[in-house]
Amino acid sequence: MSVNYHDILAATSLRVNGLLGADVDALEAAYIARPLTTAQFNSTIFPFSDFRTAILSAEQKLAQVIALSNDESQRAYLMTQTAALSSGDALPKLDSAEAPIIGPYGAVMDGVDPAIVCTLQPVQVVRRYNAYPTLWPVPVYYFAIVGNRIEHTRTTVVLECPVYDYGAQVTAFDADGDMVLADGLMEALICGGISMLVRDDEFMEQAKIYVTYFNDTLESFKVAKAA
Amino acid sequence: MTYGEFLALTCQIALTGAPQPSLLDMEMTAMSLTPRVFYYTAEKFGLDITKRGLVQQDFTLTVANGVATLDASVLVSCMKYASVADPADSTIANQMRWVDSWNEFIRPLDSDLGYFIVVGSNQFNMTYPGSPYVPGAGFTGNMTLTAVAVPAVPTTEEATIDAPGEFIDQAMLFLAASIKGDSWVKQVEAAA
Repeated sequence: MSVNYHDILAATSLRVNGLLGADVDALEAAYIARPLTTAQFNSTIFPFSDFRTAILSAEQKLAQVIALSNDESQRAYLMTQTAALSSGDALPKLDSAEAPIIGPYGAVMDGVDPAIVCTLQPVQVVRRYNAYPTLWPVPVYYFAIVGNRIEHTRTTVVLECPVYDYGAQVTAFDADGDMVLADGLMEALICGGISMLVRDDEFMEQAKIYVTYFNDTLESFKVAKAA
Repeated sequence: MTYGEFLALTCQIALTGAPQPSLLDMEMTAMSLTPRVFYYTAEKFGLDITKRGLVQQDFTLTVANGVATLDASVLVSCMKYASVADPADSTIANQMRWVDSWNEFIRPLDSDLGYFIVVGSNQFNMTYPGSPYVPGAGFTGNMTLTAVAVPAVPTTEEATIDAPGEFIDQAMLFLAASIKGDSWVKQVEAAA
Protein backbone atom coordinates (compact mmCIF):
# COMPACT_ATOMS: atom_id res chain seq x y z
CA MET A 1 0.00 0.00 0.00
CA SER A 2 1.26 3.45 -0.78
CA VAL A 3 -1.60 5.77 0.12
CA ASN A 4 -0.71 7.53 3.31
CA TYR A 5 -3.21 9.10 5.64
CA HIS A 6 -1.89 12.59 5.02
CA ASP A 7 -2.57 12.24 1.29
CA ILE A 8 -6.20 11.81 2.27
CA LEU A 9 -5.94 14.56 4.85
CA ALA A 10 -4.65 16.99 2.22
CA ALA A 11 -7.41 16.16 -0.25
CA THR A 12 -10.09 16.34 2.41
CA SER A 13 -9.01 19.52 4.11
CA LEU A 14 -8.55 21.33 0.77
CA ARG A 15 -12.26 20.90 0.04
CA VAL A 16 -13.30 22.71 3.21
CA ASN A 17 -10.72 25.43 2.81
CA GLY A 18 -8.69 24.01 5.65
CA LEU A 19 -5.25 24.46 4.14
CA LEU A 20 -3.17 27.60 4.30
CA GLY A 21 -2.37 29.20 0.98
CA ALA A 22 -2.55 32.83 0.16
CA ASP A 23 -1.54 32.08 -3.42
CA VAL A 24 -1.19 29.14 -5.77
CA ASP A 25 2.36 28.29 -4.75
CA ALA A 26 1.65 28.49 -1.02
CA LEU A 27 -1.41 26.33 -1.39
CA GLU A 28 0.54 23.75 -3.39
CA ALA A 29 3.31 23.79 -0.79
CA ALA A 30 0.82 23.15 1.98
CA TYR A 31 -0.92 20.46 -0.06
CA ILE A 32 2.22 18.40 -0.65
CA ALA A 33 3.89 18.94 2.72
CA ARG A 34 4.45 15.69 4.63
CA PRO A 35 3.76 15.19 7.36
CA LEU A 36 1.00 17.73 7.58
CA THR A 37 0.88 19.63 10.80
CA THR A 38 -1.12 22.49 12.21
CA ALA A 39 1.38 24.74 10.42
CA GLN A 40 -0.34 23.96 7.13
CA PHE A 41 -3.86 24.56 8.43
CA ASN A 42 -5.85 27.72 8.90
CA SER A 43 -9.47 26.63 9.38
CA THR A 44 -11.32 28.16 12.29
CA ILE A 45 -14.33 25.94 11.59
CA PHE A 46 -12.63 22.56 11.88
CA PRO A 47 -9.69 22.08 14.23
CA PHE A 48 -6.79 20.07 12.85
CA SER A 49 -7.65 16.98 14.91
CA ASP A 50 -11.22 16.93 13.65
CA PHE A 51 -9.98 16.11 10.16
CA ARG A 52 -8.39 12.99 11.63
CA THR A 53 -11.62 12.09 13.41
CA ALA A 54 -13.63 12.54 10.21
CA ILE A 55 -11.26 10.48 8.05
CA LEU A 56 -10.81 7.69 10.58
CA SER A 57 -14.54 7.56 11.24
CA ALA A 58 -15.12 7.12 7.53
CA GLU A 59 -12.43 4.46 7.40
CA GLN A 60 -13.93 2.70 10.38
CA LYS A 61 -17.37 2.71 8.80
CA LEU A 62 -15.99 1.41 5.52
CA ALA A 63 -13.98 -1.25 7.36
CA GLN A 64 -17.10 -2.37 9.19
CA VAL A 65 -19.07 -2.76 5.97
CA ILE A 66 -16.20 -4.62 4.31
CA ALA A 67 -15.82 -6.87 7.34
CA LEU A 68 -19.50 -7.79 7.08
CA SER A 69 -19.27 -8.39 3.34
CA ASN A 70 -18.19 -11.52 1.54
CA ASP A 71 -15.52 -9.72 -0.46
CA GLU A 72 -12.56 -11.75 0.74
CA SER A 73 -10.03 -9.72 -1.25
CA GLN A 74 -11.02 -6.57 0.66
CA ARG A 75 -11.55 -8.38 3.95
CA ALA A 76 -7.92 -9.54 3.65
CA TYR A 77 -6.78 -5.98 4.46
CA LEU A 78 -8.48 -6.28 7.84
CA MET A 79 -7.60 -9.86 8.67
CA THR A 80 -5.56 -10.91 11.65
CA GLN A 81 -5.86 -13.95 13.89
CA THR A 82 -7.27 -14.71 17.29
CA ALA A 83 -5.17 -16.11 20.08
CA ALA A 84 -5.01 -19.91 20.22
CA LEU A 85 -8.32 -21.37 21.37
CA SER A 86 -8.86 -24.71 23.08
CA SER A 87 -11.96 -26.75 22.36
CA GLY A 88 -14.87 -25.35 24.33
CA ASP A 89 -13.43 -21.85 24.57
CA ALA A 90 -15.60 -18.80 24.04
CA LEU A 91 -15.11 -16.96 20.77
CA PRO A 92 -13.09 -13.83 21.45
CA LYS A 93 -14.04 -10.19 20.92
CA LEU A 94 -10.41 -9.25 20.39
CA ASP A 95 -7.67 -10.65 18.18
CA SER A 96 -4.31 -11.87 19.47
CA ALA A 97 -3.05 -8.27 19.60
CA GLU A 98 -6.22 -7.18 21.41
CA ALA A 99 -7.67 -5.32 18.44
CA PRO A 100 -11.50 -5.37 18.32
CA ILE A 101 -13.00 -7.93 15.95
CA ILE A 102 -15.58 -6.25 13.72
CA GLY A 103 -17.02 -8.99 11.53
CA PRO A 104 -17.54 -12.66 10.94
CA TYR A 105 -14.59 -14.97 11.41
CA GLY A 106 -12.76 -16.34 8.40
CA ALA A 107 -10.96 -19.66 8.24
CA VAL A 108 -10.29 -21.79 11.29
CA MET A 109 -6.72 -23.05 11.30
CA ASP A 110 -4.80 -25.62 13.29
CA GLY A 111 -3.00 -23.84 16.13
CA VAL A 112 0.22 -25.81 15.60
CA ASP A 113 0.26 -25.65 11.81
CA PRO A 114 -1.80 -22.66 10.66
CA ALA A 115 -1.35 -23.79 7.05
CA ILE A 116 -3.96 -26.46 7.73
CA VAL A 117 -7.51 -25.15 7.47
CA CYS A 118 -10.12 -26.96 9.53
CA THR A 119 -13.53 -27.86 8.17
CA LEU A 120 -16.93 -27.26 9.72
CA GLN A 121 -18.70 -30.30 11.10
CA PRO A 122 -21.78 -30.89 13.21
CA VAL A 123 -20.88 -30.49 16.87
CA GLN A 124 -21.90 -34.10 17.48
CA VAL A 125 -19.13 -35.32 15.15
CA VAL A 126 -16.55 -33.15 16.87
CA ARG A 127 -17.70 -34.34 20.28
CA ARG A 128 -17.56 -37.98 19.17
CA TYR A 129 -13.95 -37.49 18.11
CA ASN A 130 -13.00 -35.80 21.34
CA ALA A 131 -14.77 -38.34 23.54
CA TYR A 132 -12.59 -41.20 22.29
CA PRO A 133 -9.48 -39.67 20.71
CA THR A 134 -7.55 -42.94 20.64
CA LEU A 135 -10.09 -44.42 18.24
CA TRP A 136 -8.93 -42.11 15.49
CA PRO A 137 -5.24 -42.65 14.73
CA VAL A 138 -5.30 -40.35 11.73
CA PRO A 139 -5.75 -36.72 12.75
CA VAL A 140 -8.79 -34.87 11.51
CA TYR A 141 -9.19 -31.11 11.41
CA TYR A 142 -12.79 -30.45 12.37
CA PHE A 143 -14.52 -27.67 14.21
CA ALA A 144 -18.03 -26.65 15.18
CA ILE A 145 -19.30 -23.30 16.37
CA VAL A 146 -22.35 -23.32 18.60
CA GLY A 147 -23.52 -19.98 19.92
CA ASN A 148 -20.41 -18.21 21.13
CA ARG A 149 -18.39 -21.41 21.67
CA ILE A 150 -16.05 -23.33 19.43
CA GLU A 151 -15.37 -27.03 19.70
CA HIS A 152 -12.68 -28.66 17.59
CA THR A 153 -10.50 -31.72 17.24
CA ARG A 154 -7.10 -30.05 17.54
CA THR A 155 -5.03 -29.08 20.56
CA THR A 156 -5.72 -25.46 19.69
CA VAL A 157 -7.03 -23.54 16.71
CA VAL A 158 -6.75 -19.94 15.61
CA LEU A 159 -9.42 -18.06 13.69
CA GLU A 160 -8.99 -15.45 11.03
CA CYS A 161 -10.83 -12.33 12.05
CA PRO A 162 -11.34 -8.82 10.63
CA VAL A 163 -10.31 -6.10 13.04
CA TYR A 164 -10.26 -2.35 13.24
CA ASP A 165 -8.37 -0.73 16.07
CA TYR A 166 -9.22 2.96 16.18
CA GLY A 167 -6.48 3.76 18.67
CA ALA A 168 -3.84 2.11 16.52
CA GLN A 169 -5.07 4.01 13.48
CA VAL A 170 -4.89 7.33 15.35
CA THR A 171 -1.23 6.55 15.98
CA ALA A 172 -0.71 5.55 12.35
CA PHE A 173 -2.52 8.67 11.16
CA ASP A 174 -0.38 10.96 13.29
CA ALA A 175 2.74 9.28 11.90
CA ASP A 176 1.39 9.61 8.33
CA GLY A 177 1.22 5.85 8.04
CA ASP A 178 -0.59 3.81 5.40
CA MET A 179 -4.35 3.65 5.29
CA VAL A 180 -5.65 0.26 6.37
CA LEU A 181 -7.76 -0.49 3.32
CA ALA A 182 -6.88 -0.98 -0.33
CA ASP A 183 -5.46 1.95 -2.29
CA GLY A 184 -8.52 1.81 -4.52
CA LEU A 185 -10.63 3.03 -1.61
CA MET A 186 -8.71 6.29 -1.24
CA GLU A 187 -11.47 8.20 -3.02
CA ALA A 188 -14.08 6.67 -0.72
CA LEU A 189 -12.13 7.78 2.33
CA ILE A 190 -11.82 11.30 1.01
CA CYS A 191 -15.54 11.42 0.25
CA GLY A 192 -16.41 9.91 3.60
CA GLY A 193 -14.22 12.39 5.42
CA ILE A 194 -15.68 15.38 3.57
CA SER A 195 -19.22 14.15 4.20
CA MET A 196 -18.59 14.44 7.93
CA LEU A 197 -17.11 17.92 7.79
CA VAL A 198 -20.22 19.92 8.52
CA ARG A 199 -20.60 22.50 11.22
CA ASP A 200 -23.85 24.42 11.66
CA ASP A 201 -24.67 25.22 8.03
CA GLU A 202 -21.07 25.31 6.82
CA PHE A 203 -20.32 23.01 3.85
CA MET A 204 -23.75 21.40 4.18
CA GLU A 205 -24.46 21.20 0.45
CA GLN A 206 -21.01 19.87 -0.33
CA ALA A 207 -21.34 17.20 2.37
CA LYS A 208 -24.65 16.05 0.83
CA ILE A 209 -22.91 15.45 -2.49
CA TYR A 210 -19.92 13.67 -1.01
CA VAL A 211 -21.99 11.46 1.22
CA THR A 212 -23.69 10.03 -1.87
CA TYR A 213 -20.27 9.21 -3.32
CA PHE A 214 -19.30 7.56 -0.04
CA ASN A 215 -22.57 5.69 0.20
CA ASP A 216 -22.08 4.36 -3.33
CA THR A 217 -18.95 2.61 -2.14
CA LEU A 218 -20.58 1.35 1.03
CA GLU A 219 -23.50 0.09 -0.96
CA SER A 220 -21.28 -1.72 -3.47
CA PHE A 221 -20.04 -4.03 -0.72
CA LYS A 222 -23.57 -4.67 0.49
CA VAL A 223 -24.75 -5.43 -3.05
CA ALA A 224 -21.81 -7.77 -3.58
CA LYS A 225 -22.79 -9.67 -0.47
CA ALA A 226 -26.39 -9.97 -1.53
CA ALA A 227 -25.50 -11.19 -5.02
CA MET B 1 1.47 -48.49 2.43
CA THR B 2 0.85 -46.48 5.59
CA TYR B 3 -2.53 -46.28 7.22
CA GLY B 4 -2.69 -42.57 6.36
CA GLU B 5 -2.03 -43.30 2.69
CA PHE B 6 -4.58 -46.11 2.74
CA LEU B 7 -7.26 -43.81 4.13
CA ALA B 8 -6.43 -40.96 1.77
CA LEU B 9 -6.68 -43.21 -1.28
CA THR B 10 -9.84 -44.85 0.00
CA CYS B 11 -11.57 -41.56 0.69
CA GLN B 12 -10.73 -40.32 -2.79
CA ILE B 13 -12.00 -43.56 -4.34
CA ALA B 14 -15.21 -43.17 -2.35
CA LEU B 15 -15.89 -39.87 -4.08
CA THR B 16 -16.22 -41.62 -7.43
CA GLY B 17 -19.81 -41.45 -8.55
CA ALA B 18 -21.08 -40.50 -5.11
CA PRO B 19 -22.98 -37.41 -3.95
CA GLN B 20 -19.78 -35.68 -2.97
CA PRO B 21 -20.78 -32.95 -0.52
CA SER B 22 -22.06 -35.46 1.98
CA LEU B 23 -18.83 -37.43 1.85
CA LEU B 24 -16.07 -34.85 1.71
CA ASP B 25 -15.08 -35.17 5.35
CA MET B 26 -15.24 -38.92 5.63
CA GLU B 27 -12.02 -39.74 7.45
CA MET B 28 -13.73 -40.50 10.75
CA THR B 29 -16.23 -42.70 8.94
CA ALA B 30 -13.41 -44.46 7.14
CA MET B 31 -11.52 -45.07 10.37
CA SER B 32 -14.69 -46.36 11.99
CA LEU B 33 -15.27 -48.85 9.19
CA THR B 34 -11.69 -50.01 8.75
CA PRO B 35 -11.71 -52.78 11.43
CA ARG B 36 -14.96 -54.19 10.03
CA VAL B 37 -13.66 -54.03 6.45
CA PHE B 38 -10.38 -55.73 7.40
CA TYR B 39 -12.37 -58.47 9.12
CA TYR B 40 -14.70 -58.83 6.16
CA THR B 41 -11.89 -58.87 3.61
CA ALA B 42 -9.86 -61.38 5.61
CA GLU B 43 -12.87 -63.67 5.88
CA LYS B 44 -13.55 -63.38 2.15
CA PHE B 45 -9.94 -64.25 1.39
CA GLY B 46 -9.93 -66.99 4.02
CA LEU B 47 -12.90 -68.70 2.43
CA ASP B 48 -11.33 -68.48 -1.03
CA ILE B 49 -8.76 -71.23 -1.55
CA THR B 50 -6.92 -69.13 -4.12
CA LYS B 51 -6.46 -66.25 -1.69
CA ARG B 52 -6.35 -67.97 1.68
CA GLY B 53 -2.59 -68.00 1.81
CA LEU B 54 -2.57 -64.20 1.65
CA VAL B 55 -4.24 -63.91 5.03
CA GLN B 56 -2.77 -66.87 6.87
CA GLN B 57 -0.40 -66.16 9.70
CA ASP B 58 1.63 -68.32 12.09
CA PHE B 59 0.93 -68.13 15.81
CA THR B 60 2.70 -69.79 18.67
CA LEU B 61 0.14 -71.30 21.00
CA THR B 62 1.11 -71.77 24.62
CA VAL B 63 -0.86 -74.91 25.37
CA ALA B 64 -1.52 -76.04 28.93
CA ASN B 65 -3.35 -79.35 29.46
CA GLY B 66 -4.67 -79.23 25.91
CA VAL B 67 -6.00 -75.69 26.13
CA ALA B 68 -4.67 -72.39 24.77
CA THR B 69 -6.00 -68.93 24.10
CA LEU B 70 -6.22 -67.85 20.48
CA ASP B 71 -4.87 -64.52 19.35
CA ALA B 72 -7.74 -62.07 18.90
CA SER B 73 -6.90 -61.63 15.22
CA VAL B 74 -7.53 -65.30 14.36
CA LEU B 75 -10.77 -65.82 12.45
CA VAL B 76 -12.63 -68.64 14.14
CA SER B 77 -14.95 -68.87 11.15
CA CYS B 78 -11.96 -70.02 9.09
CA MET B 79 -10.37 -72.31 11.66
CA LYS B 80 -11.43 -75.37 9.69
CA TYR B 81 -8.70 -74.38 7.22
CA ALA B 82 -6.06 -74.00 9.93
CA SER B 83 -3.17 -76.32 10.57
CA VAL B 84 -1.44 -77.13 13.83
CA ALA B 85 2.16 -78.27 14.13
CA ASP B 86 4.48 -79.22 16.92
CA PRO B 87 7.71 -77.28 16.51
CA ALA B 88 9.44 -80.09 18.37
CA ASP B 89 8.14 -82.83 16.06
CA SER B 90 7.61 -82.11 12.39
CA THR B 91 5.72 -85.36 11.83
CA ILE B 92 2.80 -84.27 13.96
CA ALA B 93 1.40 -81.63 11.61
CA ASN B 94 -0.21 -84.01 9.15
CA GLN B 95 -1.88 -85.92 11.99
CA MET B 96 -3.82 -82.97 13.39
CA ARG B 97 -7.42 -82.53 12.30
CA TRP B 98 -10.06 -79.85 12.84
CA VAL B 99 -13.40 -81.07 14.17
CA ASP B 100 -16.64 -79.16 14.08
CA SER B 101 -18.29 -80.45 17.23
CA TRP B 102 -17.31 -81.07 20.80
CA ASN B 103 -18.68 -84.61 20.71
CA GLU B 104 -16.43 -85.38 17.80
CA PHE B 105 -13.53 -83.85 19.70
CA ILE B 106 -13.92 -85.93 22.84
CA ARG B 107 -14.92 -89.12 21.02
CA PRO B 108 -12.84 -89.08 17.84
CA LEU B 109 -13.27 -91.59 15.08
CA ASP B 110 -9.55 -92.27 14.89
CA SER B 111 -7.71 -92.03 18.20
CA ASP B 112 -4.35 -92.21 16.46
CA LEU B 113 -4.87 -88.68 15.19
CA GLY B 114 -4.80 -85.42 17.08
CA TYR B 115 -7.72 -83.00 16.98
CA PHE B 116 -8.39 -79.36 17.63
CA ILE B 117 -11.49 -77.26 18.09
CA VAL B 118 -12.31 -73.75 19.26
CA VAL B 119 -14.79 -73.24 22.04
CA GLY B 120 -16.37 -69.87 22.50
CA SER B 121 -14.60 -66.97 20.89
CA ASN B 122 -11.00 -67.88 21.59
CA GLN B 123 -10.48 -71.07 23.60
CA PHE B 124 -8.36 -73.46 21.57
CA ASN B 125 -8.61 -77.12 22.60
CA MET B 126 -6.45 -79.91 21.26
CA THR B 127 -5.60 -83.52 21.74
CA TYR B 128 -2.19 -84.78 20.76
CA PRO B 129 -2.03 -87.66 18.20
CA GLY B 130 -2.47 -90.94 19.98
CA SER B 131 -3.60 -89.29 23.21
CA PRO B 132 -7.32 -89.42 23.98
CA TYR B 133 -9.16 -86.47 25.43
CA VAL B 134 -8.93 -86.31 29.23
CA PRO B 135 -10.69 -83.42 30.94
CA GLY B 136 -8.20 -81.11 32.66
CA ALA B 137 -5.22 -82.94 31.27
CA GLY B 138 -3.46 -83.28 27.97
CA PHE B 139 -0.64 -81.77 25.98
CA THR B 140 1.39 -79.00 27.53
CA GLY B 141 3.91 -77.08 25.45
CA ASN B 142 4.08 -74.81 22.42
CA MET B 143 2.28 -75.53 19.16
CA THR B 144 2.39 -73.57 15.94
CA LEU B 145 -0.98 -72.58 14.54
CA THR B 146 -1.26 -71.47 10.93
CA ALA B 147 -4.64 -69.78 10.58
CA VAL B 148 -6.54 -67.11 8.76
CA ALA B 149 -6.15 -63.87 10.70
CA VAL B 150 -7.28 -60.31 10.29
CA PRO B 151 -4.37 -57.95 9.58
CA ALA B 152 -3.93 -55.44 12.36
CA VAL B 153 -5.38 -51.98 11.86
CA PRO B 154 -2.48 -49.59 12.43
CA THR B 155 -2.65 -47.40 15.48
CA THR B 156 -0.87 -44.45 13.93
CA GLU B 157 -1.15 -42.57 10.68
CA GLU B 158 2.46 -43.35 9.77
CA ALA B 159 2.37 -47.08 10.56
CA THR B 160 2.53 -49.47 7.62
CA ILE B 161 -0.35 -51.87 7.04
CA ASP B 162 1.13 -55.31 7.52
CA ALA B 163 -0.77 -57.13 4.78
CA PRO B 164 -0.19 -58.19 1.17
CA GLY B 165 -0.94 -55.71 -1.58
CA GLU B 166 -3.87 -57.75 -2.86
CA PHE B 167 -5.49 -57.60 0.55
CA ILE B 168 -4.95 -53.86 0.80
CA ASP B 169 -6.36 -53.23 -2.66
CA GLN B 170 -9.49 -55.25 -1.97
CA ALA B 171 -9.93 -53.72 1.48
CA MET B 172 -9.66 -50.29 -0.07
CA LEU B 173 -12.46 -51.05 -2.52
CA PHE B 174 -14.65 -52.57 0.18
CA LEU B 175 -14.01 -49.61 2.47
CA ALA B 176 -14.76 -47.04 -0.21
CA ALA B 177 -17.97 -48.91 -1.05
CA SER B 178 -18.90 -49.23 2.62
CA ILE B 179 -18.54 -45.48 3.06
CA LYS B 180 -20.97 -44.93 0.20
CA GLY B 181 -23.54 -47.51 1.25
CA ASP B 182 -24.72 -51.05 0.91
CA SER B 183 -25.58 -50.85 -2.77
CA TRP B 184 -21.99 -49.99 -3.54
CA VAL B 185 -20.72 -52.89 -1.41
CA LYS B 186 -22.85 -55.27 -3.47
CA GLN B 187 -21.31 -53.94 -6.66
CA VAL B 188 -17.79 -54.45 -5.34
CA GLU B 189 -18.67 -57.90 -4.04
CA ALA B 190 -20.01 -58.86 -7.44
CA ALA B 191 -16.83 -57.69 -9.10
CA ALA B 192 -14.46 -59.29 -6.58
